[in-house]
Formats: sequence, C-alpha cells, structure tokens
Amino acid sequence: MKKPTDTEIIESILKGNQSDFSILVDRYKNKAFSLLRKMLKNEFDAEEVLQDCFLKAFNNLNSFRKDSKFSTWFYKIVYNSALTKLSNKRWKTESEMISADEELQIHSDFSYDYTEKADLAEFLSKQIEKLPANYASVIAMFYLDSLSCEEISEVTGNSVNNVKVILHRSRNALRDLIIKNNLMKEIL
Amino acid sequence: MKKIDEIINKYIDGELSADELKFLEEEIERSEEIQIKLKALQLVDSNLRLIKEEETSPEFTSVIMAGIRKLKKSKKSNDKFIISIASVFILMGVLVLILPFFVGLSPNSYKEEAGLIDNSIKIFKAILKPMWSLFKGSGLSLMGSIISFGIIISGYFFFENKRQSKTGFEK
Repeated sequence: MKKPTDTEIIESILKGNQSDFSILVDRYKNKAFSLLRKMLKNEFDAEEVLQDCFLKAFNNLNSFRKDSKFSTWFYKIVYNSALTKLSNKRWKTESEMISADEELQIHSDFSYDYTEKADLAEFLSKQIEKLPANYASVIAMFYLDSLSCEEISEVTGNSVNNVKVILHRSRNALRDLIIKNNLMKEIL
Repeated sequence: MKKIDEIINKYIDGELSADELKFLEEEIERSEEIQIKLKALQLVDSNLRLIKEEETSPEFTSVIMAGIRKLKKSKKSNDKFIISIASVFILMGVLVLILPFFVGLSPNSYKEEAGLIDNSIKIFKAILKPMWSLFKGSGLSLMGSIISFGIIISGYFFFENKRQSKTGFEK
C-alpha cells in the first residue's frame, strides 16, 4: 500500500482527523531525536524538547505552507527549540556555537575498538557529540537526516556556503582524529 | 593546505570541476600525505553514513497523542470559560440597559411625551441616570469591587489554563 505523503497527512489532520498526527510523529521522531541528542548532548533534554516541538508543530499546522516541505519546516522548529534550550540553560554560547571562521579541534579521550568496522561509526557518533552545537547539528542533518546543504541552510538560517564550510570543518576534525590515532592502518 | 582540504571535501561530495579534479589527481600522485587525508576522509564519510538513528522511548508517540488530546480538551474548556465570562458581562450590560424601563419609566410616561425626539431623549436620560448613580458615592466602591473580583477570577482561570497547556505532555 502506498504511504501517504506528509502533505496528504497534514490535509487529513486539518480536516479533523487529528489521530493522523501520530503518523508524522512516527515518521520524524527518531530523526529529530538524533539531531537533538547531538545538539543538546543529553537524552532527557532531547526527548523533552522533542515533545514541545511536536506540540508546536501540531498547534501551528494551519500556518504550514503546503508548497514547502514539512521536514524542513519541522526541522526549523526543532533547531530553534534546541537553541532556545541551550540559551535557557545558560550554557556558554561561545563554547556551544563557534563560528565557521574559527579553528575546530576535537579533544577525545581515545578509546576505540577497531575489530569491527561498525564500531568506527559508533565511535564517530560519539565524537559528533563533542562538536559545538552548530557543527554537530549540520553533521546530524546531513548524515542522519539526509538533508541537502540547501535544506540545512534553510533550517539554520546560514548561507549554503557557510553550511558547507561547517560540514567540511567537522569532517576534517573527525578525519584528523583518525589520522592522529593511526586508525587508518588498523582499519584498512 | 587549506585549499587542498577543501578540494578533497568537494571531491567527497562530488562537486569538483574538471580542473580541480585534475589538480587533485596530480597532488595525490605527488604527496603521500594527501593520499592519507583522502582515504581518511572517505573512511569518515562512509562511516558517518552508517550511523544509526537514535530511538526515542517506546511510548513516545502515545505520550504525544495523549498530550494533544489533553490540550484539545483544555482548549475546549478554555473556550467555554471565555464564553461564560462574556455571557455574564453581556447579561449585566443588558440588565443595566433595560433596568430603567422597569424602574424609572411607567408606560404612561411615554404617552405624555408628544414628539419622537423628546421620547428618545427621555429614554436616554433614564438609561444614563441609574448607570451614572452606580459610579457615584458608595456605588463606585461597590462597582470597583465587583470589577476587581471579576478581573481576579478571570486572571486566575486564564493563567491556570496556560499552566495546564504547558504541562500538556505530562502523564
């Protein structure tokens, strides 16, 4: 059976079938949760913020323009809610959000078991959490949520070039971590 | 070195021009360091694609839907509350308007007036007189107390509803 599109689901919800919202929740909860986990670096906060995001999305479905993508619209809510949460917690903005011009390095307590390739993915996943929130968000949206640089630019409000710079720097930092720890010889 | 880093990243994303690709191939052949960088970046890219989505708690969707139902319910009761408050104020207004007809004017008083304009002025004065008396002397403090009480009660319910919608997702 053909899966309904996001727009079809939204139309159904607006007609009064509010239980259809659960389809959207199931479709986006894990992707958005992964993004929030990487940005907030805390499971409890991530789930709490995600609940608020779905509530905001439900309450504002009327204002959703059907010519745009629901995913981009929803990620915008998620991204902005995460930033609000970070500022509410009074975490130092400088340490959580560094600009694309600054040098990026990951300081890792090195522990990596290179016996299986899948472990490297897990290792990298943990390293993403050590990145500043704006870098972690770009990596998560690009690799976990499969958003294009243009879509990430729309979500974050940064230029496409800036998004690419952040993406490249994040990947380079992870690459340097692998080279620094001689993981290349062990894995390849 | 920064330029070659950018070119390697663009290569990973499949965004290199023919000239840049040629430049990269030459650099790879020339430098072992660049070979290592490219391989490491390819490894990072392929493994980042293998990262699995993290999962929310199993009851997440049902918590959201229960929260939405609760919110809808509290919105309904909020609407009912606003309608009932508005009804009370409208009823009070109507009472104030029709009261003079029962108190200040007898049916005969209309007959005594000749013209339509005189009648209207008399009715207007009759309406204003008891209303004005409510805001004079002891009536003023009474009306002030009633209005203040109304505002306090309305304010309480308003903030209570706000609080309930904020905690809409709590079990």
